[in-house]
Amino acid sequence: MSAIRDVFVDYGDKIAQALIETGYMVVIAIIAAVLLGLPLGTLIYLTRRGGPLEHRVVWALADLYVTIVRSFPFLLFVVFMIPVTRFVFGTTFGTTAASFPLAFVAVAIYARLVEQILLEIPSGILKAARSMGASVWQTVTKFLYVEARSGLVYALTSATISFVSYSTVLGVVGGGGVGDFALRYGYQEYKFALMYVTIVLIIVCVLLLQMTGHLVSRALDKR
Amino acid sequence: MHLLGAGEGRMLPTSAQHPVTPPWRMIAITVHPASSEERSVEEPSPERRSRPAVELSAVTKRFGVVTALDDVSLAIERGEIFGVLGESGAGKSTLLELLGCLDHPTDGTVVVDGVDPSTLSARKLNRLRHRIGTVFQGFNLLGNRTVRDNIELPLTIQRRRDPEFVESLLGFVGLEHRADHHPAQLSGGEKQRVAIARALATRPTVLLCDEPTSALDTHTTADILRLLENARDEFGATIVIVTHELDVVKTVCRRAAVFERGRLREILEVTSGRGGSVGTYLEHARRALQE
Repeated sequence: MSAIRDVFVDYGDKIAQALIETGYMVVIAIIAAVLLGLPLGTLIYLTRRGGPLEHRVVWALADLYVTIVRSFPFLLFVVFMIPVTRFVFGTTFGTTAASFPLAFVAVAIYARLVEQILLEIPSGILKAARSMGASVWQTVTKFLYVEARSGLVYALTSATISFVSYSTVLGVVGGGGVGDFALRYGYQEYKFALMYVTIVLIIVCVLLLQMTGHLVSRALDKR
Repeated sequence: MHLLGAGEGRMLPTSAQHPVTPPWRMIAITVHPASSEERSVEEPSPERRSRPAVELSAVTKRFGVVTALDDVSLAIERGEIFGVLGESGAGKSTLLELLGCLDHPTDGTVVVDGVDPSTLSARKLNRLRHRIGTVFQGFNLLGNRTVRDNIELPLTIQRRRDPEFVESLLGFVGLEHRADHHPAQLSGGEKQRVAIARALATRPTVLLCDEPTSALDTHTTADILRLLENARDEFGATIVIVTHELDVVKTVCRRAAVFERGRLREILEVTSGRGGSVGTYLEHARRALQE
């Protein structure tokens, strides 16, 4: 037990700092997922064959983006994105710059989940929207998102947990965060107690996220 | 608007036949929240109003090499409850798409409420769609919206509000006490009642019913059919019931078109010993006791 206490006494500030960095990167990823991933997934759904806005070119491009980004091993994607990151931020180092590739992946992951959730909505809902003369915008906001809302929240929860996991890789470009901390201060310096404490902290965070997502999603589902 | 529209094809009960005017009827007659601009587009001229609610002349619809509807001509009078019979693949769904102004025919013309939808701009076409209500076999209610929200939805889509009318519709379908429930908490018959109220929310001229009772048991079916008859009587809607159930047609329709492989084979007059007018208590009693 004293080993664990020592970890907090000696490294408390650094652990807190690492948690904040992880939180920062994950929040940016969540924002990207909601602001860009949700519309992108909806676009893939709408423009699919037989969809309300069927459009082969738009569909193929959107779908291609999601497939390519998702098929990259994340570490390689971060390296691959270095020139772009440098172009946008002027640097490739630091938490903000590191969040940049993560945001791309977040958009792709959530877009795919959104598409899958929308596909599960009964086709009768679309039929009802069409018969009422709803515009595409109204169909999405007043019908699809209303019926899909619990699924969308639940998917965002699991996506967020993936973002936490992905963010641990961002140490390679100076992103910091708990993963980087556990690796550098724990593993590489043979302080295994420190590493395990950090891992437990990550697990606790993920559990809290999962529980919150589950509760919110259940409260939203009246079907 | 013509909520108690002139029913050429059919005697409509006048309010004199009802000892007490139900509250929803009073509201239905008095509230017309249409703007003057909207009215000019939406309100049929007397000339338009004198035409049948739905007219199809030589309508053909092809999808590639498949002919879904083949040279169909048909007129449905205002205030009529018209049956469309046919087995699957007969062209019933295509007919509904055309009547709902969701698709245009390959040949021939469709005229709904005196207007040919194929001549309209997208905007006016949408306006026309707002005058058509649809009831589905699977109800197609939104599970995450309350009963009241579901009924209000078509008004929301049209950026209109009419809370009193929504309340009166809840009363009309007998679900005031369920207004804040969600569809999952309702029985099948209650769900279809909500769907009917939803379809009536925009005071449609034409109410399209796609197999409205196929998911329901016999008792509930009778309930829903009575409700549809009341909807016709109270709101003056012309009702088209697409179904494969002959009993349904026999109960509420005066005429029914029989389709086979896209062709209109015949329009049958329904003979059930019922007189010209339907909907009074006496008529129901006669039907129940003397048939």
